[in-house]
Amino acid sequence: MILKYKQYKNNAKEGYVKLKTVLIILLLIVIVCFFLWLKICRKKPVEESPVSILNSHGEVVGEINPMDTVFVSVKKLKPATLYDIRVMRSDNKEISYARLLTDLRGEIPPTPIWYDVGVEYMEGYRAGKLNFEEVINHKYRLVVSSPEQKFEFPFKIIDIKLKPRIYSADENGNPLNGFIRGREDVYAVGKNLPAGSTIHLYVVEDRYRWADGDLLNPVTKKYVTVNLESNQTEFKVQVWEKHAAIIGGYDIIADCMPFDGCYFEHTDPNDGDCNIGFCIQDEGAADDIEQKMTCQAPSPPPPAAPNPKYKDTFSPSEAVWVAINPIVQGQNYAGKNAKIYVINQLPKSSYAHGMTLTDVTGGPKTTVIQPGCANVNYNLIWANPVAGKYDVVIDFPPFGVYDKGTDIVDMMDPVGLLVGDPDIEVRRIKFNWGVGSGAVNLKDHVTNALVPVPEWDKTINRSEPAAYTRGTVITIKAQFYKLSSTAPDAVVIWADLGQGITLLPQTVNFAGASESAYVDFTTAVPSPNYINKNDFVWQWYYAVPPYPGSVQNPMNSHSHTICTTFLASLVNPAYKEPMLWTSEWAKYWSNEKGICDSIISKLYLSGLKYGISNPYGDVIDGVLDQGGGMCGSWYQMFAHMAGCQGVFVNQKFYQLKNDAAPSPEVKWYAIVIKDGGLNQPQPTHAAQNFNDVDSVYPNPSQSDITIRNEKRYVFSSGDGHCINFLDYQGKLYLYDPSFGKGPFDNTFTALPSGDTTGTALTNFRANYHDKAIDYMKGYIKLGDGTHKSLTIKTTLIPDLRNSSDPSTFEIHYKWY
Amino acid sequence: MSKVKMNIRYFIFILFVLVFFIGCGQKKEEPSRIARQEEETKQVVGYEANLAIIQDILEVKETEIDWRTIYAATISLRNLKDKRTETAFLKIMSRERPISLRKDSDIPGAMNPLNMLKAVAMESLRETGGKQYLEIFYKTYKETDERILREMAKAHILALGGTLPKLK
Repeated sequence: MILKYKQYKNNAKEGYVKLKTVLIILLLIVIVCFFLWLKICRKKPVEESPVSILNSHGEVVGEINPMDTVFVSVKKLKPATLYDIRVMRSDNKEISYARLLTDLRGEIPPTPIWYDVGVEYMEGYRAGKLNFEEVINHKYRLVVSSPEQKFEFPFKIIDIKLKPRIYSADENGNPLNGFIRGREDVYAVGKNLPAGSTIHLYVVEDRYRWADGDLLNPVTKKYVTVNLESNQTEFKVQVWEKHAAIIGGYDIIADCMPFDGCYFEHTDPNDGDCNIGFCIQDEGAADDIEQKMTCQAPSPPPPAAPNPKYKDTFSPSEAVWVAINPIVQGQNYAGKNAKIYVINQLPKSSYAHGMTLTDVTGGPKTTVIQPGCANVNYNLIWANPVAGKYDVVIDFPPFGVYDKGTDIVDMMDPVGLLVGDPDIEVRRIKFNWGVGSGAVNLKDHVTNALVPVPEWDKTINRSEPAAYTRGTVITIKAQFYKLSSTAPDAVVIWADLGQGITLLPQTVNFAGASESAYVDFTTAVPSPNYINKNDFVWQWYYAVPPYPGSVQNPMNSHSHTICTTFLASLVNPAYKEPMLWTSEWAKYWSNEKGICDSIISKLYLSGLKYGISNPYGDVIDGVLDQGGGMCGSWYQMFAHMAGCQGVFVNQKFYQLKNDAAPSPEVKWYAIVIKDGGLNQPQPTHAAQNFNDVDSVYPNPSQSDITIRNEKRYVFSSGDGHCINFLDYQGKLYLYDPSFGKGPFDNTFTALPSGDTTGTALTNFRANYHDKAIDYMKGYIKLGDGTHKSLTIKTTLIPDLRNSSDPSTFEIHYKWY
Repeated sequence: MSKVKMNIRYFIFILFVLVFFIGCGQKKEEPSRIARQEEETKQVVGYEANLAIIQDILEVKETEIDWRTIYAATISLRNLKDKRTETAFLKIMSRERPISLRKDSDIPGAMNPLNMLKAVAMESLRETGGKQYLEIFYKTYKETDERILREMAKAHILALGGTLPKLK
C-alpha cells in the first residue's frame, strides 16, 4: 500500500515536472514567436525616397515597360523653386532633360520626363524607330538637382519584347504621334499578336484612362479588321485616311477575340492610355500661332493626359498650369524640349519675329514634349503668381526668342493670363429659369427639393448642374458685379465655355449700381450633340463698346457642369445623381441599346448596392438616400436612369407561384440566388442550411443531396424578381440591374404578361433565368418515395415533366 | 503503465487547451437562427399563433420583426374564410406606417415589407370576400405608389368584374 502510494507520489511528481517542462517550452515558443513577429512584421520604417517614378497608369514603379511614358514626381524640395531633372543612362548618356518648378509644398507633381521609351527619335525627324534592344541593355537613374540639393533614383526598363503592342505609325511603320491633316495617312502597327487571329482596330477619341468594359466608339465610324495569317504576328494597316482625319487627339485600341466592342486591359492592347495616342494637326503657317494653354490644376494623380480645363483668370493664391495639344504642326516640333515663358502682356502688334522673351516668374521652365506632335502635358509654371496681365509662350528652338510660325502664344489679344481680381465679375447664373429655358427639372435627393435657381452663385459658393437635351441652343440668365469703381458702367460681355461653345455678346448696363440685373445670354452654337457630362470652364470677358473693335478683358472664370441627354428626359423631375451618372456613362452613344448597355455596365460606379431593403415612399429618392435597394427598387432606378436620357425601358416583375406540382410536392417555395448582387461581395441574407441537389432531378436519392450552410438570397413564392426590358428595333433585351447584368437577348419575342409556364419559358430560362437563379427550393419527392425540402439546381429542371403534356409544367411565373 | 497514463493526461490537457483556443475563434450559433433554419413546412405553428404574430405586428408600435416569420404567418392564413383573419388582413390593407424589419432579417425582393403583405392580403380578401372588398382594391389601385401592387389591384378588380377607376 505504502509502496503504491510512493509510486503514485513519484508518478505525480514526475507528471508535475513534465507539465512544468511543457509549460516552459510553450512559454519559450510564445516568446520566440513574439520576437519573430517584432522582427518580421514590425520592420523599421525605411526612409522614403523623395523621388518617385510613375508609369502612364499613374502607378509608382521601379520598372518601366518599353513604349510607356516615364513620369517623375519629387517631394521634400524647396517650395516654388526650379529643379533640373535628368534621365541618365548607365553609360552617362543624358536621355532626357527638364527644368521643373515645385509647388508651394515643395513638390514636383507627376510630370512626363521620357516619352515613348524604347523609341529613338532622330533630331529633325518627327517619326521614330523602335530600338528595344538598346533600351533594355542599360540601367537608368533619375537625377534631380538644384545648386543646393541633389537626389538620384535608379530604375530599369523591363524586357517584355514579346508583349502584344500597338502604336500609330507613318506609312513606313515607324512610330509617329502627330499627323498632318490632308498630308499624312494614319497607320497602325501591331506586334507580337496571336498568329492567325483577327483583330478589330478602333480609332477612338483620346481618353485619359481606359477601363475594362469601356465601349469603343470609333471616330472613323467603323473599326478596321486585320486578319493575321497562321504564321503572322505583326501587321501595318492604314486606319485613317489623311483627308478624312479630323483635328484632335486620339487613341488606337485593338479589340482582340472574342470581339465585344469594349476595351479589356488583359486582351486588348492600346496606344494612348493616359497619354494621347496620336494627334491630327493642321500644317503650320508662317504666321503667329495662338492657342489657349493656361489651365486648372489637373485632377489628382495619376497624371492626366492633356484634356485640360482652360481658363485665363487666376487668383494670386492659385497655381498656374499649362497643357497644350497643338492643333497646328509648327515648323520645328521635332526636338525633345520646349521652354515655357510667362511674359508681360503684349499687344499682337508687338510680337516681332526674333523678339527676346523675358520670363517674369523667376526663369523659364523646360519641358519634355511628346515627339512628333509637341504635346505638352500638364506643367506647373507659376506656384505663387503675382497680380498682373501676362502672356504665356511655348518656345521651341531656337530658344529665348519669339519664332513666328513655331512658338505658340496664349494669347496675343486679349490678355493671355490675368492674375488678380477682374474689374467686373459674374455673380449668379440661372439655367432652369422657367418653362422656356429648356432645362430639365433636376431634383436633389438630400434636400428632397428641386435644384435651387440660380444654380451657380459665387456669393454662396453654389454650383449645381444643369441638364438639356443634346444639340440645344441654351439661354441662361446671368448677373454681374463691378469690383472696381473705375469699371465702365456699360459693357459688352460674353463667355467662352471651351469645346467651341461661346455665349453671344450682350450689352450689360449697370445703371450706376454695383450689381446688374439678370441679362439673357444665348450660346452661339447648340450644346454638344451627344450625351455627355460637360464640365465646362466658363471664361467671361468684357469690352467697352463699341465691340468688336475694343480690347477684350478677362473677367472671372468658373467651372460648371451641363449634362446633355440623348432625348428629352422622360422623368420629371430627374434626380441629379442619375442624370450626372448616365450622362457620363453613356457618353457619345446615340442609340437606345448602346445607352442601356453603357448604363448597365457602369452601374457599379454609382456605389449603390443591392441587398438593402426597398424603401417606402419615393423609391428613387429612397435608394439614393439609403444607398441601394432590392430588385423592386433597382428596376425602377434603371428605368429612371434610362429615362434621364429619354430612353424608355419596361419594368417587369415575375412572381413565383407554388402550384407547379400536385400535393404533397411543392414547386416551388422559393427562388435561390448565390450572387451578392450589385456592389455586394455576398448575399445580405443570413446563412442557412440548404439541401442542394446538383446532379440528379427528378427523383434524387438521399446520396444526391449535399447540405450546405451559406448566405443566399431566398425569395419565397409570392415574391420573385424584377427586371427591365428594352424594346429596340423589334427585339427585346433583358437587363437585370440588381446584379448589374445584361443585356440578355432572345428571352421573349413579346413582353411577357400574365401566367407563363412550361415551354413559354424555354428561351427565357436558357438565355437568362437559369444563369441568374441558381436553385429552386421546393418540397420534392425523392427516389425512395419520401419527400424533403430541397434546393434543386435550376439547370436540372425541365420545362415539362412529360414533354408531350403542357399541363405538367415545372415552373410557373406570373408577370406584372 | 503509469507513464502511459500520465502521457494520456498530458495529451488530454494539451488537447483541452487546443480545443479551448479553437473554440474561442468560433462564433456561437444563435439559437434563434438555428430555429429559423428549420424547414418552412415546420414553421407554421398553428392558426392562433400565426394570427397572434400578425396582430402583434399590426398593433404593437416600433416592433422590429423577422421577415420570414411574418411572411410565413401571413401566407398560412391566406384564403381562410374567417372573421378574425379577414379583420387582420383588412388592418394590413389600411396600414400606412412602414414595417421595420430586424437588422438580421431576410428582406423581400419585389416590394417593401408592407406592400408584400398587402399583396397577400388582397389575394386572400378577393378569394374570401369577393366583390365586397372591391372598394379596397379601388383605393389601392388609385393611391399606391407601388407599381406591382397597383397591377395586382388592377388584376383583382378586373377579375371581379369591376371597372378600373381613373388614375390621378
